[in-house]
Amino acid sequence: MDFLVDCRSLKKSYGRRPVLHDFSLQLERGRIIGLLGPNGSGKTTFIKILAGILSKNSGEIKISGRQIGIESKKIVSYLPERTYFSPSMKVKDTIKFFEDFYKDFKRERAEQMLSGLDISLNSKIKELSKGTREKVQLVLVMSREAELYLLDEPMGGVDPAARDYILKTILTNYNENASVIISTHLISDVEKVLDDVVFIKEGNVVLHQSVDEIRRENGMSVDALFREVFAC
Amino acid sequence: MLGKLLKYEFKAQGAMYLGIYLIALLFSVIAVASDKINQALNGNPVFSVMRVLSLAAAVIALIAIFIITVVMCIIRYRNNLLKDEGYLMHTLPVSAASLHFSKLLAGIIWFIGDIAVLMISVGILTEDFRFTWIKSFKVILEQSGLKIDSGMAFVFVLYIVLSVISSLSMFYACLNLGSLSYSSKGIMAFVWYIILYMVGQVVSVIGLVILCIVQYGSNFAVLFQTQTDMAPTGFVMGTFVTSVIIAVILTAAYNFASLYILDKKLNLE
Amino acid sequence: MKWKFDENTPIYLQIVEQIKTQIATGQLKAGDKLPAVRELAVEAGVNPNTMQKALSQLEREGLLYSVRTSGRFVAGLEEQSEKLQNELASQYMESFLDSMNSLGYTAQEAVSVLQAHVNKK
Repeated sequence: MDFLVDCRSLKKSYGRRPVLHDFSLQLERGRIIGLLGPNGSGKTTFIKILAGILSKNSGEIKISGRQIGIESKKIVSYLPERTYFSPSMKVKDTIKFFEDFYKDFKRERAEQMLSGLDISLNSKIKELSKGTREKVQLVLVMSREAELYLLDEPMGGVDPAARDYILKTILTNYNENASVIISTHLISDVEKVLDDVVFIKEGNVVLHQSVDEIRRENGMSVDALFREVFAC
Repeated sequence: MLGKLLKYEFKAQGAMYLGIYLIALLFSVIAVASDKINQALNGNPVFSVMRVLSLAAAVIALIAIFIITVVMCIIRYRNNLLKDEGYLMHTLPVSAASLHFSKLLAGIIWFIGDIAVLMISVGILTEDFRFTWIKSFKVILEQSGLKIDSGMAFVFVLYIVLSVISSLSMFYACLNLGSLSYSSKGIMAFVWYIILYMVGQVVSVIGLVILCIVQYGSNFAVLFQTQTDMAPTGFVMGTFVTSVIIAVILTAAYNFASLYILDKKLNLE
Repeated sequence: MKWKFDENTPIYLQIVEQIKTQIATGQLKAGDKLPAVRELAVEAGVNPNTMQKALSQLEREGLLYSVRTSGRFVAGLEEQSEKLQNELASQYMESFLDSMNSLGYTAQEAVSVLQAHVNKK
């Protein structure tokens, strides 16, 4: 089986504090996957390692058969939880930037989405509200024809209408060759859109199943199951 | 990719440098113009004050250019590679080395620009674009027994550039070493600066001592004599060459450290 | 088309139900062409694979059929529609009887109450 993401026995510690223990996970193409777990469970650490901005301590990890590095960065599109553009850049500069560095970037798609959102290409990043900035970054990330999309808390701090827009964008850009990993707390919003979910607890995978199976086996939503599994 | 990264360095900082360059040049022009007008008017109070003030402003501006360059290089490196923008830069399909060297190269280019503006300003102020004052400088040096030729001048310029590269590399290494700390990256950067500065000094002293031993053998007590006919040129050259070698070694070390940390130990908040 | 999903049953099954209802109530008529999977998924706000699974199930049950390059269509058999209506009707009845039961009525009593209710209208 040819996995898009193949991760075996990944270990990562920050100094002496271990965050990922014996983390193993295999993900297929063409799936929208929810990465769910409490704060500090290792979700963001795992995503950062996949994105190539954090190095593992040990273990194996491959994306589409490639090692993490320049080759994997070409096919991974990452949306972190923060504004990562220089505040003085204009929206049209960010488009040019992505176009310059990413061969798989589709300018027309980005421009279309931005005009649909009524965001002027001439506005500076620092002039936009937080929610609008996040939408701009989402648009740019989803305008790449990547093989793996990593969305780290794409809906935190954003109003419900914007959340719907984000989910709709993810669905519209879906293609069977790629997968989307969404790390989030807002499970009930996102559940219908997910194929599979992965529960992460204290640096380990405790569950990896499809949403349908979870509902069928447990007679409850993923959100409800999550609350059970992670009850304090 | 390095070219593209450089392009964005210029886009990000070009306007600022252009601004300070123009300010310095402007003050220089005003100083000379005020002087001329003052002379033509045989001593006008307004213009003689303007002449003095604008000259002072030009000098301050020229000094400020160099300070700003150093400060901005450090700030840019930190903000673009080690803070939020790092999330963008380090997920680009480029090597950590390209990211690092694009900053270093840009810094060198800005510094060359600074020197160019300095030369032009001096040329304006002395109304002398043939830079005849350099010749007088050369004459003074030669009077102390040193032989100066154009080869030496060229090497001297190279040494200045090397010093710039070395300093920038050291600052960047401090930023990267500081970023290894989880809680106090900024403070640790300063701490590393002190450490690396002292290490640099120690290495330089050791290097010079080795030079002396090599050059004078068991005779090196001769250095403490005030009357000597040991050719100064040889000693100056020797010191010079040793300094260059030390600078190159230290620069290489700083860059290796930066590259290693940027590539393998990246830890963005 | 308005989609409503509850939280506790697999989404693809809910999609299957809702499309069946649409066919039974005539909102989707025989020969109607369904939008592409992707479009339907976006409209319903669900995962495309889930939508695909539901549509495949409906095809298997003979309620939809697909033509290679043209898309999916609602099947037009009369018996199909009738069968669906009957299926849904008995589901509604079961539901009614269960609810009445929980209030303490027997099946017979429930029928009487219903008859009286209908007579009043």
